[in-house]
Amino acid sequence: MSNIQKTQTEIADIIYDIAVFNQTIFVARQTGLYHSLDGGVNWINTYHPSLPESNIPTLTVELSPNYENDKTIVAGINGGICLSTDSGETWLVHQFRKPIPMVTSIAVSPNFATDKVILAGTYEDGMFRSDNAGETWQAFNYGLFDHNILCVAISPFYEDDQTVYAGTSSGIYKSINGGKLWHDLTLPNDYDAVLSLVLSPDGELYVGTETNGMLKSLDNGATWTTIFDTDSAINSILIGANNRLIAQLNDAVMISDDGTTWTSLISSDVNIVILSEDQQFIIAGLTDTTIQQINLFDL
Amino acid sequence: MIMPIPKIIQQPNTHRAIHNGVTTLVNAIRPTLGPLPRYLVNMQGSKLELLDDGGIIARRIIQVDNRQEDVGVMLLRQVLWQVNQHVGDGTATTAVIYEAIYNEGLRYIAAGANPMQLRDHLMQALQPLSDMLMEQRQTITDIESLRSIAYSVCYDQSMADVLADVFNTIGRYGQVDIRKGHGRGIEHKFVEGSYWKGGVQSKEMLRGTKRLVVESENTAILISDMDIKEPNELIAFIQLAMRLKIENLLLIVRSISEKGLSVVLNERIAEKIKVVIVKIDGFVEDDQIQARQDIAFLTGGNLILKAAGQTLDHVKESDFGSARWVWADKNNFGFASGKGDPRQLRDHINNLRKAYSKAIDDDHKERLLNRLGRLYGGSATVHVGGITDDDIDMRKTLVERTVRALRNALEGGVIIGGGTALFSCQPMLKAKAMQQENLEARAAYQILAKAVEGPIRALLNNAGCDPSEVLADLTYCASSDGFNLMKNKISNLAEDGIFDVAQVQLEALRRAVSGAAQALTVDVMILHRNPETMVDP
Repeated sequence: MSNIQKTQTEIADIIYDIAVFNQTIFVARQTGLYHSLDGGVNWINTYHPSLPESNIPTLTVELSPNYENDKTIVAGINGGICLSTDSGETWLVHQFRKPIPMVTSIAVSPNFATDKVILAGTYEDGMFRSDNAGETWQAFNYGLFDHNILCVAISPFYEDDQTVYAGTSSGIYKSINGGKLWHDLTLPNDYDAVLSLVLSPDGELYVGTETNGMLKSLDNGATWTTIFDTDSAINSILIGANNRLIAQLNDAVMISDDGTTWTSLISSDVNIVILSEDQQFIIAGLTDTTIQQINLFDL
Repeated sequence: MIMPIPKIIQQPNTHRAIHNGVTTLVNAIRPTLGPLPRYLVNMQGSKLELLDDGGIIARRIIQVDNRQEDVGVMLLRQVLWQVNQHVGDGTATTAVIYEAIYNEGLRYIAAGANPMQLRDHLMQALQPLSDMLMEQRQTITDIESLRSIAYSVCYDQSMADVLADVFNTIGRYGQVDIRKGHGRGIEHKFVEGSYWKGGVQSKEMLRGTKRLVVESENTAILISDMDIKEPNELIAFIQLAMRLKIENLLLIVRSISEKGLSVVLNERIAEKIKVVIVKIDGFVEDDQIQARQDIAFLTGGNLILKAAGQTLDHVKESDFGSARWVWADKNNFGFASGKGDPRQLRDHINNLRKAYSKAIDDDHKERLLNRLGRLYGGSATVHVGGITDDDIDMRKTLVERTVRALRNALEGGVIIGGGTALFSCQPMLKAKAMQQENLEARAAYQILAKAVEGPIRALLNNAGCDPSEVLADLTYCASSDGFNLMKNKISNLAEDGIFDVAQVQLEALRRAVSGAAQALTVDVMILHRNPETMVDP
């Protein structure tokens, strides 16, 4: 097991989300946002001392696609987002309108440097959108019949196709105007909760459902093929180098080279997995509050 | 009493009179066609009115001096009215096609064609023409196309920008509320959630609120059709709500008496539970019933209905729906993020969408659209300003017309504009004419081949261009090429974003062909003395 490195932090609470850039790892936790500059050896509360209250439960964290230059971090909290444009040195809290929504997922436009678009999915209050890098937010729920947003994914060709997908507790929705107007898509097993969404660089859409496994669409959600038939909920999907698929289930992380055969990568209870920027590692936040890194090239 | 003797008009006077009447009305409407239109001034008493809409012009010309010619006006006016009612635009296009068919038809009748057979063949020839037009349809998905369509109707860039943004955001089923604005320009805003007409039942409920709007979060909603007369009808229900630890409650009723209101306005009760009582307004009972059903789907509540023998005394916890945010003022109430089952809501919306696509009756369609707009979870409000009240009214009408065109465009797609799509069908019609052996069948295709030139000719004339020269040049161009009147040259109209709404063009064509074909069969007119003046056709 030399390819697995496990990190026990001093912080022992739920890990909701992870974001990574080079050796810097950001972890959204029940007690706030933490980051490590040394690959997970030492951890610092990222909100401290910029925010008066640093133990803000943070459900999701996302880095700008152009993080190296704009150093923008967006963290979803109860009531809005925390935004930093200097790698977490200073933070601004942007509150959404009342009633206070719980931000569960964030997606930053691949073209963020010019369009400044950020989408924030919430639990109970639908989708919020900012087109000025998080300064102001407006709810856009036209055609979105389920306001419990569980995941959001933006097309790699967003600049041209303005396409966004939202997974909800009762299916998947698609927007072709940057997240303003939504269209309900039909899944083979209608109305299943969509827990995870990912788009390959070629635009293939992968969907992880609660009870019907993993589905794939090659035509922007018009037709679907089941590629991982399991009763277990698929909480995250990653696409690694050479189009290797990684699926995070409740009690395991599975990997497949072509989507037909799946082998176990981690057999512990996992909250979240993400892929390192160079696609060499996956980083998993386990339910035992530890973080585990696995070198995919050693497999 | 001696009945006046009616005047009987026969051929050739009948055709001549109808021809003159049609020409009179078309000449009044034709200048309004295209991106470079001219206005018509209507003077009624001391009131001057500037008109640019063929539909409204046709409505204003109620009667012409010559009663025989008035029949021609009436026949065309009825067709234009139908087009206006059905698609809200395209009356000028209808008028010029109608005139071309009628005038050409007369020539063939004079040459020996049978009017009844000609009518039948015209209706048969309409089918391949409609099919060809529909084959050219394109769907619109982007804001630029919406802006082009809006501009092709209103010819006002700021209005087109606003309405394109509105429909890009709320989509084809979206609810648009058009109101008079206070400024000179046009403004819009998006309203989150759904709302219905029918406000709070007591102004006391608005006391101490900002902008006289009562708002609450995480609010329980009970949907009923109760007429509450006595306080005791409410007491057990309010006690139940308090036992369930409900802090905010929206109660929908049909009516409530002052005595009933006294229960919820009682200070001791109001300290424990904030109750807002509203009713749903609606012209007909069906609207209210359907609104209650829709609210039940959106909020997850059960309907409490008198007809089912239910009373507020027997309400259960599971009967309450809820929403994240509720508001009410003296005229309206609404909510956002209802807690209804999204699966049931999607099924309900799918059923309404199917019903909408199958609906034929305009009124039924309008009602379904209103319901879908609310269920889609948001609306847009457009405030239309202007310099004078008349200007505001005129611009408001123009916004309404453009909104309808945009909705039709999203629903049925668009075709290349400027009359080009219709004109591109001419070679097919000419080829079909050559294949016909029957005189009337050949005539029908030749008449339509001439008629499809009508709109493009009128547009060119209005812009001060020579139609014959341009039409000759267009004959050798690609099908997507047309004459861009703003550039004053032939160009690719699809690339220029010049489109017409497919449904409008098709409706104009169908009504014009069937109306003119029918008019050609009129042989005798009976004119009674002192006819009753009709306001509507």
